[in-house]
Amino acid sequence: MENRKPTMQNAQARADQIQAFDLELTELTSNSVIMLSEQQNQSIQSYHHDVINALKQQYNIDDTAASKQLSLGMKIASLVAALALASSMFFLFFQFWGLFSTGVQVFALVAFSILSFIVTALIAQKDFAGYYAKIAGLISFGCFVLNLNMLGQIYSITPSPNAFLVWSAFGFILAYMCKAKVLLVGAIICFASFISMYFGTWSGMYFISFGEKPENILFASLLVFCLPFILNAIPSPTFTKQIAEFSHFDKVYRVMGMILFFLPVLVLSNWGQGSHLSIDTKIIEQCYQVLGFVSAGLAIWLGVKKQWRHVNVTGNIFFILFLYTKFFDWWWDWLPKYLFFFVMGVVSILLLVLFKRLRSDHHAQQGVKG
Amino acid sequence: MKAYLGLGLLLIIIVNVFIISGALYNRSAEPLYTLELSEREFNKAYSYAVDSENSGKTIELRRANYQPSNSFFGGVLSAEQLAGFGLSIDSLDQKRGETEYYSVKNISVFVAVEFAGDSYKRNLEEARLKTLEIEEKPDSFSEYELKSAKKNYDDLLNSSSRLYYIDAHQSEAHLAKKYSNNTNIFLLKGRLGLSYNKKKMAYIINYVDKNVEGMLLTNTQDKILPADTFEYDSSTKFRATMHVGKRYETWISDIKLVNQ
Repeated sequence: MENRKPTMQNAQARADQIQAFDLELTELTSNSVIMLSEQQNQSIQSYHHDVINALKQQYNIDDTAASKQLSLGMKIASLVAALALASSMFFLFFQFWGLFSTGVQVFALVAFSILSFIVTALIAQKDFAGYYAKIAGLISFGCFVLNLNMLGQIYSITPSPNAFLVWSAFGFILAYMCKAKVLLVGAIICFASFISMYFGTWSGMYFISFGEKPENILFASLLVFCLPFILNAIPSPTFTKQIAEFSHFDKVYRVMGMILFFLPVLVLSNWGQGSHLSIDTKIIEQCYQVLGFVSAGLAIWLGVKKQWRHVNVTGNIFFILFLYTKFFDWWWDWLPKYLFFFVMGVVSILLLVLFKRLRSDHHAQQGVKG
Repeated sequence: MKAYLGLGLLLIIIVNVFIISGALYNRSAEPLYTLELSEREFNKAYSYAVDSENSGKTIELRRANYQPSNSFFGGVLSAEQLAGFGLSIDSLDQKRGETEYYSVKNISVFVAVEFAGDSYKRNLEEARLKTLEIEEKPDSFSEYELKSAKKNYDDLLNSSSRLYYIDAHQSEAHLAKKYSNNTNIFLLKGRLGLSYNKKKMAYIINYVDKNVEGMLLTNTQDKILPADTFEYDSSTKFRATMHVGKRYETWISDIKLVNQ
């Protein structure tokens, strides 16, 4: 534990570990499994007290359950504040920009972008908890989006997918600088949009219409899912060390990659006409239904194998979505409603039994390994 | 932290320099086309989220309402026209026309726009003849039909747009060469939606549009126009000089009110 990189997430994990140890020690002592002397007890408590205090001072960690609940509230409040202030900036500009000459408009846009970014960097340097850095980061991101968007309007510039690449690059810089997942989500969406738009244009579409062919999004989704592997595979010790600091971002990449993959597959499994493939739409839909079930199953398997709870949960959600969409497709018109919902209920119970069985097997395997 | 700061600032500066220099390049030297348009050819571009609080005024080109008979809309596309969009009938899939009418794809093209040219004159003449026909045979037509025909003719004569999208092609050079002798035809970057019509067993165009949505008026240009210029019952008349630059991006250089 002492060898972990000193990050906010690691500090919180250390505090959680100490809390769990204290609780378990109390249990063990009350059941007379272990009896520590008064001196040993005091020594442990004093050590933990010092560690927690040091972590609190340095990283503003939560040392109680109540404090954790309040932190969650603060996270939500900071997200709302960030979105509201970014919107406020957007509307503020619209309110007054018509009063200025073109030169002043352009200067204001560039200056807002630069200033908000510098302020964000200064806040991120001081704010370990990241609440204020996230707010500043989102405002800065909003300013930069506004900057390019408004320059496009001022000079009547032909819209281009490249704007999404630039926004995503800026979003990634801000996300890593502020350690903010919400900015990472924004950056991933821009990045996936950019790749998908280019796939659309390569197939002869106008770039904004890329969503009309959901297959355009599939490559981007796989790329996003694999980004943590790609970043970790870069053979540079300095880079690997820096990336390790952001290991908690891996979850965001994987979940976003899965959402971006499963949503188009879900759409295509019900609407074959949206495919690039020139074969019968029924066959296309069936292929995507199979792909949906198989890939959701694979995701569940991968989640269990690698102990990636987020991958497991996302896989489960989409597996159930695929299953129920199929039920709806097959039986909604054909069965009386009471029977339809009865069948869904029975299938859900069967799934419950199946998962319970898998869980028992998993526990048994863990027991054998132990 | 310093690395992120440096990287972010570099990105902001490079991107802004790139965009602004591109815009200046578009407006540098002689524009490709210069046209004097009237209030008939412009709409106010609405942005619904911010419109009531937007102090900037953006206008966009307003195209004429099409009659299928005198546009390349609606008609069956020939193999040659499809080739102009980078497509061939063989590469397009006709089997999947499960519905009578479905969208095949949206593609990027260059659009030829005609101002007050043959398309407009043809449309005007058709409207005039229709009015005459109804006036000559009052028993065969209703009062409403006569009123509509007169209004249509009057609108075409006095208030509706004279901008017609007359052609589209993937190659700007092809269109520029084709219309090189027509000073009232200019090119814009645009897109068109292609559909398969099962009844006609053919491909048709279901929409054509320009890519750039609007042109922002400078604060000095904005001041020239009364606030109600683009209201439904506005009587403001003006002339605007519009240029099409090297990158087929448009801008307004001058606006003058017209004495009524």
